[in-house]
Parts: sequence; C-alpha cells; structure tokens
Amino acid sequence: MTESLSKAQGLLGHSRLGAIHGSKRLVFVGLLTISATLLGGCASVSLDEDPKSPRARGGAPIVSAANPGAEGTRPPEPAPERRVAGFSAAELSAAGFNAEGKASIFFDFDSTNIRQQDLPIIDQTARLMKRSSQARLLVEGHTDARGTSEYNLALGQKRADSIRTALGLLGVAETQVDAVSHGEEYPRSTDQSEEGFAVNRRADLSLQ
Amino acid sequence: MSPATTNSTRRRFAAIAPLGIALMILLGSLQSALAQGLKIDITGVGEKLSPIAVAPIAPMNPADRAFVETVQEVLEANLRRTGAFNLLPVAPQVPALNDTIGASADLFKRWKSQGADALVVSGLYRTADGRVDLRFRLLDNLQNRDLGGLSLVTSATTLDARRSAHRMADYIYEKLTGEPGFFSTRLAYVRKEGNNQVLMIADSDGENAQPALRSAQPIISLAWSPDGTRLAYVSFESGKAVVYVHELATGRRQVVANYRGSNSAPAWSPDGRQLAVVLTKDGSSQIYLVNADGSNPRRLTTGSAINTEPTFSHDGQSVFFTSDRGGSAQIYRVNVNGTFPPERITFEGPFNARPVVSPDGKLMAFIARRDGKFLVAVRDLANGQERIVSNGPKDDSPSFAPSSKWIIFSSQIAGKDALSAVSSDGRVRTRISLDTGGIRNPAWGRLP
Repeated sequence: MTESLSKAQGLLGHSRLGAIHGSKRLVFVGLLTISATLLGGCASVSLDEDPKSPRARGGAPIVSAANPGAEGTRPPEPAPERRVAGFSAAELSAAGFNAEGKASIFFDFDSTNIRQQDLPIIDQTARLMKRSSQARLLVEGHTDARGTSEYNLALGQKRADSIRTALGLLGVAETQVDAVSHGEEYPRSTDQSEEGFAVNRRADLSLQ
Repeated sequence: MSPATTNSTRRRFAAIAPLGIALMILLGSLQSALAQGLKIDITGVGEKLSPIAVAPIAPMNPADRAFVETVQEVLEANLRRTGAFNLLPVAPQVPALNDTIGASADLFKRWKSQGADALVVSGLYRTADGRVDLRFRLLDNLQNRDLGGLSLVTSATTLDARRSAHRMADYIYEKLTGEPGFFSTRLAYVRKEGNNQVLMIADSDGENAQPALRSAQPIISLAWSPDGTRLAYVSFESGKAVVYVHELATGRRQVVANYRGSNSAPAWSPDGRQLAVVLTKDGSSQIYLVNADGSNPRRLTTGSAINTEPTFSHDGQSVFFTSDRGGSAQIYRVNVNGTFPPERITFEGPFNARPVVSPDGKLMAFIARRDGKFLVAVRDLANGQERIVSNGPKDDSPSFAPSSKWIIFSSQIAGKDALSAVSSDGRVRTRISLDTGGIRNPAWGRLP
C-alpha cells in the first residue's frame, strides 16, 4: 500500500491534495481507487472470500465506536457542549465520527487497501485534522484471526499505516497521526464466521 | 502449588510413546479438563522398548520418605514418557548403593537374568548441614559397565525433589540413548484467566507451573534465551506492542524495543548476544538485529512490504522470515551480514509463515495455509522437502522441544485455545491441554 500511495503522491504531487475541492476530490478519489485496484492485482493476493461489508448491513457509512461493546453503551444524548479534540458533536458526526471521536474503517481479507467507499471519510477526517493543529488521531490496525499472530500484527500495522499515509497525502501533518497495530489480539467479534471476521478487519480511528 | 493440586495435576498428563526415541510433551490444563479425565495415552506401535529397572530409593532418615517418593515418581514418569523405556518391577533384593561401586560381574548377570538391560540404584543421605544428598548409580547390565552417577545435594523441599529427579532422568536418558536429556528444560506459555493473560513457566512435564507475569493485555511471541535464563516476548500492556526481555530468576524486565508503531517478533541469536526484532519505526515492518539489551539496531530488510517473524539459522549466519513482498506471505532467508538479497524458500500454497528452526538445525517448522486451514508444516532444510504435520484449522506458534523430535503449538479445538503437539515426522499428533479459558503461545526452552 505504501508503495502504491507513493505512486499516487507522485501523480498528484502538484494538485495540492491538501486543498482538494469539488471535482479535484473526485480525481483524487479516482486515483486512490486505481492505485488500490492495482495493488489488489499485484501486491495483494486475492484471498478475499466474499467479505460482507459490516457497513452494508448497518447502512451507515461508518460503524463508529472503537471499543467492543461501545455501540450498546453510547449515551443516547451527548451533552451539547461536549467536544472531542476541540470538535463539536456536529463536526464529528459530519466527518463520520461518533460523539466520542471514534470511527472505524474496514478492510478486505489480507488486504491493506482503503476501500473506495471509505475514501470520503478519509477525506473528511483530513479536513477535520487540518482545521486544528492541536488535534491528534490514533489509528489502531486490527485483523481477523486467520493467519499467524505476528503476521497479523504486521498486517494491522500496514492497515493503520495506509490510513496515516493517505491522511498525509491529503495534507495532515505526520505528527498529528499515530499508527499502531493490535493484530488479531482485540477482536470485536469472536464469531468464527465471515461476518465475524469482517468486523475484526478494521482500523479504529480515535481523535484525541 | 498445594500438595492436593500437585496430585490432581498429575492426572492431566499422560504419556505419549512415539515412534523411535522420542520425547513426551505434556502440559497443564484446567479443572474442566480434569473433570473430563483428559488423558493422552499413545503407545509406540511395534516399538521395542528398552527394559530397565529403577530400584526404590532407600532413605537413611525415615523423615525423608516424602522426598524420595517424589523423586521416584517424577523420575519414573519422565523415563516412561520418553517412549524409550519399559520400567520393570523391581525385586526386593536390591543391592545397597555402596555395594554397586565397582559392581561385580555377578551383579550385572543377576539383573540381566531378570530382564533389565540397565539398573538404577540410589540412596538418600543427609549432609552435616542438614541438606539431603541424593546419590545414584547407573549400571549397564548388557555390557557389564558401570555408567557412573551423580550426587545431588539440595534442600529437602518437594521442588528440589522434582529438580533432582529431572537431573537424574537427564543423566540416565543421555547415558542410555546417547542423546541429551531434556527433563530439566522449561516450558513457557500464556494462559487466559478471566480477563487476565498470565505468562506461566512450567517444568518439562507441565508440573510446577509458576506465573511470571500477569497482564490485562495480550502477551505473545515468547522466546527463550539460549541459556534458559531469560524470556523475550511482546506485551501489549502499554497499549501497543513492545518487546521485553524478562529475567526469570529476578523478575527484572527490560524494554528492548519500544519505537514508534509496533515492536514485535523477538528471536534470539544462537549465542544469546543478539535479538532479531521487527520494528516499524522507519515505515513498514522491517527486521532489525539489536543487542540483547536492545541497543544498536541494525536494519536487515528493506522495501515497503511486510517483513516479520524472524528466526535464526542454526549457525546464526542467516535469518529466516516471513514477507509478503512477492504478493503473498512466504518464507525467505537473508544473510545476517546483508551481503545477499533475501532468497525465497517456500513456494507451495498461498501462505507460509512463522518459521522456526529446530535446535539441531535440521528442520524448519512453519505455518502453512492449505484449503483455508492454517497448519503446522515441517521442512527438511537439507533437501527442501515439506510435509504438513497438523490438522488445523488454526494452528500457530510452533516451538520445537529440545530434542527436535516434537513440536508443540497453539491450536484451536472447538473454538478454544489449546496446546497441541506433534512428532516432527507428523506420525503422532495429539492435543495436550484443554482449558476453559485457553492456553496458547508455547515456547520450549533449549538445553542449557
């Protein structure tokens, strides 16, 4: 992924990714998608086994709440004055984050490519981050349980890094984003099914 | 561990007597397994077991009866589990230990006629300072040879009785089979207890398990230092993957890699002076060599792909590792001096990872994906032949026993983490523990 994104950076070097608007954003999205497709064709073996997007089931663009169980415990009405990383609930929501400043992005099996439908949230997150240089984003990569624990740790790191790299391409300062991996150690679902695996293949974003 | 627990623990273990001279692998489990009477009892098929006799240990002081009973029981269990010996019942007229020194031809003949190829005679004495002195002598009745013995002076605790028994078994096994004994080696694993993960250190027979670290976060990738005094591992206790080296005698822990991103997959060099670790501080997951205290990191791999799961070759001159640089996870080998580009060595199947080289340097175990299952595979490093030796579906963390004849690994049985073992030739496969919470990430210490 890093390699492909570098290519994307080269291609887009003078289009000032940091200030993409309107049709330019579409160009960016298109190119990122192309690079992702290319990567899918070469670097990532097609091990994908018809992963069902958790999003498709939920309907919402982003499943929020980075912590297992947080979905059920989300306060019904966050205090209106509450801000996370300096952002209002409305700002967070517009960018696809929940009121705690958390969001998740999901991945295909053995893949570190950001899926096309997630590019808008990457873009929105970048806009948010650039609005406040104080804001920090922690990206935690996760994998499903298939494979070895150490390979999965590296895979989770690559997922987190791919998001950090994409945000960097969109102009977010490198110092604002920290990317770590939890490998297969913190599953959101313990279901040994494709649906269970799919919700575990994720990067949890949390604004701080 | 209370005596009651120790007694009940015994039932968790049973012997595998595999083909050829092999060793037994046994590990602890929990009460549920006890309740089910989990028992592994595989006997060697068509294997000729060498008949030997272990004479009852005579204590000079009647107060030492419990000590000698522990020694006797642990010693005999160890010898049985090797699958190499048949322990004969011992006739009452056992010679006193002193009488066996410079044993007469008559003595050898008498025991040979009773069917014992070898005889172990022992005694327990008290030293002037009140410690116990376990002495034994091993006699080879077939060749009329006195194979010598040891004097093991310790305190009179049950723990020391177990240790002395393991050392006795090591001596006997080595003298009779020509291969080093492994009973004094130790086994590390991670056990789930409620919301905690506990790093346990047990004797080679699974007994005497002691917690070394308790954490609310995962502990993975255990690796023994070659001298058996330290354990390297990855702990998530600080919220991310950090590599520690833990000195077991003192409990002293040192962070050896805590850079930006993830720090993982520690592997010791054969001389114990270096560790190979995986760091992401310079971008993607790369393999570095660091000194045992974590200083002086030298990068061994390059590129944007994943490079992880390093393991040293027997001679310490190269490192095997997993990389997806070719499009799928495969195993490569790189020279520690970095003089040659990495060479890909696995080609079969879409996923081959987590290599580990056997203590004798002849084999490499790894995890292979076949038909959607993750299985233990063994490669003969001399001729490159590979063989799948486990049943899956999700096996991980293979670790060779000190003899290289067995592989212990993490597996999932009915969705639960459990340890399994397989002979390196794949012919004897067994589950060795079942646990309500789960046991995983085994690492068997090497011979000192």
